[in-house]
Amino acid sequence: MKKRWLAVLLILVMCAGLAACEGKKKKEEGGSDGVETLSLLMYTDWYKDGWKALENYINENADSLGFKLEISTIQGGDQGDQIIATKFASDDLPDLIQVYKPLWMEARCGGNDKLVDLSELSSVSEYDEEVLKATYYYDGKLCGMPIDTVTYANAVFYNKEVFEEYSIKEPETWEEFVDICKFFKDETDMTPLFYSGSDVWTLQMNACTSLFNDAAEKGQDIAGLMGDINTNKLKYSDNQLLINAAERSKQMITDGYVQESFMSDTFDNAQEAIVDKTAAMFINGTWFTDNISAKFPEEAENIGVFILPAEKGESYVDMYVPYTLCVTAGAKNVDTAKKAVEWITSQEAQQIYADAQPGIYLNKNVSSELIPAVKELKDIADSGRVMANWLESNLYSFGNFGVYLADYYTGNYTEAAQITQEMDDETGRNAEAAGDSNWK
Amino acid sequence: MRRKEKIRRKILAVSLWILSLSILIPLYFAVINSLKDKKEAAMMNLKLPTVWQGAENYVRMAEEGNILQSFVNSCVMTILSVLIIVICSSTMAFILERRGDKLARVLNIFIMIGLVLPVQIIPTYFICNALDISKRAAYICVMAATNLSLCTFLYTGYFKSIPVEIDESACLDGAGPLTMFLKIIFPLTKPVTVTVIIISFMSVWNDFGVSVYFLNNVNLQTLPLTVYNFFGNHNSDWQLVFANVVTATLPVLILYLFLQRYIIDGMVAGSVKS
Amino acid sequence: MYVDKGYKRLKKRRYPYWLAVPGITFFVLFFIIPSVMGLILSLFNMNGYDFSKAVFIGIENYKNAFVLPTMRRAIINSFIFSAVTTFFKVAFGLMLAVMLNQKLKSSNLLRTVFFSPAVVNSIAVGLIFKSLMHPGKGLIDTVLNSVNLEFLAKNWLGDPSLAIYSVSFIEIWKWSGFTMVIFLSGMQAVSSDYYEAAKIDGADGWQKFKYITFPLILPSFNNALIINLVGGLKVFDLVQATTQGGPGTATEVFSTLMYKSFGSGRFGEGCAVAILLSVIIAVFAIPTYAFIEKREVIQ
Repeated sequence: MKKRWLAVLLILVMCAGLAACEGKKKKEEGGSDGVETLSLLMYTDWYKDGWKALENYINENADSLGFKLEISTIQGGDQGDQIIATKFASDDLPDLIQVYKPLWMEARCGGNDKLVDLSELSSVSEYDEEVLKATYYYDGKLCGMPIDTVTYANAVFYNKEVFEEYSIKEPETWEEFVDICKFFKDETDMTPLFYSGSDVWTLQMNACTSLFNDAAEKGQDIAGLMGDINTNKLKYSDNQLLINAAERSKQMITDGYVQESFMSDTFDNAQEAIVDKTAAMFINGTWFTDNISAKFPEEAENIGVFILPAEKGESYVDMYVPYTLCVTAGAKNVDTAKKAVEWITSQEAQQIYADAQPGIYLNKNVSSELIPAVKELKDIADSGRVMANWLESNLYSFGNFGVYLADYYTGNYTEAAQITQEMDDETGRNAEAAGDSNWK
Repeated sequence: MRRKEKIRRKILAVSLWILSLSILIPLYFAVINSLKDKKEAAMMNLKLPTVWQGAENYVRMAEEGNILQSFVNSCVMTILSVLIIVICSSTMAFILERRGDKLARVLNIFIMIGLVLPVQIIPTYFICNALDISKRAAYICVMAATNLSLCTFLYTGYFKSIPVEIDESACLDGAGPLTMFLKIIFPLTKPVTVTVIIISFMSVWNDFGVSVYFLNNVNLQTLPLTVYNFFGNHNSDWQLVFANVVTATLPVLILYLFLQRYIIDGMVAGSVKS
Repeated sequence: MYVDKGYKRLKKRRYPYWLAVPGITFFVLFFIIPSVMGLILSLFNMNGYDFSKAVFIGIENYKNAFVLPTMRRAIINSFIFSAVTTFFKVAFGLMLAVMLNQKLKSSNLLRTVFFSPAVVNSIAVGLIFKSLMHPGKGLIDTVLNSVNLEFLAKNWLGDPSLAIYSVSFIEIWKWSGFTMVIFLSGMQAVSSDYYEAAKIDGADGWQKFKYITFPLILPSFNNALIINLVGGLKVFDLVQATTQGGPGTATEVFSTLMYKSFGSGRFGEGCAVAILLSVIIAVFAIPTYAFIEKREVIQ
């Protein structure tokens, strides 16, 4: 009988051995012919025309470049964030990974020490050092290089043909903006203002930039204000203009300026609504024009834009810096991975990326043909009316601003102040869980 | 009396067919919209397409969604997982049911816990990583483990209905335990085995919660994951999304159609208690 | 005494435990150990998933989980979802089974049709219904509007007070046929002798159901009830595919909440929510099962 037990044990050991070998084999694959396959992980939304073009180029020229790419994508959102965090926690890392920002990495995954310092790459000199310092360095280490475009947000997009037809002028103040909405509601059967609540992140655009005005009122810029919040010197609830903005954006729904099905419509629907002229205006960033350029290239020139007017004070362009491309410590061959990033962020590669996906790139030597709406936003930003977005500048997650707004729009929260209260509570929970002494 | 009965049955059949429309319409909706062009699919109605664009949609979807590879992945991983489930749950159920001693009872309760507890996905991920097995192997093992409880439960019910005398006669012929099980007992379990195959096949093929962790890679992803990812990229190209939905559903539907006449027989045995 | 011992030895030889070892190994390695690990981790504060920085904090995670603002919602929603879907799945399943257990020409085909939603994956089902339930454009509202029932046309998944019921409806649509098959299997096992006898006594359809069919299929009823109850409390895929817990937090259930805790890096708390879910399921499922099992009759 003992023999039988032994046999079973042996089979189990063999199974385990085989499985382990398969795992090992995978890791050692490639490299024999001088071309290494590098795995790259990113969110599905980020795998756009730029990456597709660059990936094609790389895989066609793998012999001369010395590497190939194997890109994996996962859906973003809470679950996607969690998968990334789990991967970092269990050291199960791809060679390259594209993430938001080093600050986000540190806050969500505690993962920056699992990233390789890139400050020696030759392509670094092609970028503005100040910009890299502000975002891509963390604790004196260059955790990653910028990838993709700068995004300008807080913009209201419209179809120029529609504004021309009704001879409407771009509004300067909030009251003028409301008047335009009222005009569309009363005089046309178009939806004055389109909300796409099914893609919750788009709701954030309706209100988040008012925090800039809060900062300005306190005589600070947004970095200073977020610094105070990150050290518990200031609460989100102390920013009355942000709360007011949430209220105003809900008022648009109450007044019937927003389509009734706004919680079921997607970002994609919003693009179609503007192109089809079933909706007059949509608040978003240059993600919107990127998508229009990709899906309706002939309509791209027709998209007009103005900055969403603030309640009082200046209205700013909301700037999102590009995402971060990192080399992980789990890379099979760190040197190859670094070389790959060096090439990907160089002028040559970035130009390929930019040709497929026009936009604003941080690489100083890249030129890109901008469509009028993006150009207009860039000009405003270059004139100084710009602040960096704050939604990713928090040290501790405040939850999902879009979800809170949806809760408020649909009546789960009765007061706009509950949004900021919830943000403060969630920040506190995460800060305490991380053992931050400022919250004790 | 007979005529009355006949009419009653007719009415019953007709009303059941009307009721079945509630099932058929959504399924028809998915199929028909996968054959339309973008504009018509966006209208989301049940009309026949004016332009039949099925082939084009399916080809485009297959290219962009990496469907072929995913199909192979789904097949390989589901079949291996189901194989493990059938082998493990049948042997386990047989031994535990026949032994019936204290240890067997404790182990049985232990396994039944699996019917109730949800999968602890994050710790599972850590364990698999610590074991250093490949993602595919990990997925197969985890899916096998999570389905073991239900399948063992079904087998246990069935073995109760197989008289012990059959084992005895087999043993008198001098067969060892393994031979007895494989040659005599296992062939008798055909109905319940088919049920187990269908149920575990459905569950592994359609899994989302586990595969999203282990198989989030183009080369590893399964068909249901392509649906999830594809919708993220093309959420207004409904014709492509539905083409993807149909492709992901068809294999398991076909399997079910082939085996469906056994499924009730297998469950009959599984649910009867002596 | 001697016979008993001999029988035991015979059993040992005929049914050796090593045959069960592969199954037990899989189960322990990939199910029990992770569950135990989850239980242990729920007692620790894990700073950013780093095991080396884990601090034992006792039941603090559970306390925190309970005061989460979305927790109350998730509990209520999970119970609503579980109760509504179990009730209707069992009711429809039983009704369909009774109807299809009669000899109809097309009963086999009909069974196949009613069961078929169960084989479609939840993500696909979610997407199909997401488009059917779209306010204004979706088929459901379009039909209602065209037959002058505008007041019934709703924002099915976008209205926070309605959304959880809409998701429940989808779940019922998907699994009623499966429940039907469980009942049918129970009914097939009922000997026709009982019905013959009842016929002689002049029992009508309802009496036959009440006094023969139902008591005899109680084991199936019990299985169906428990499977659906547990499935309802555990639901994740379908909610993720249709509303992702939204609009806002209106359809947050246990599993989505768990993912949110994990997602924001509060790992121990996520484990605590998962354990709470297990406990709640056990508290409801086991006594219910035992209660009905006591009333089962043996044929």
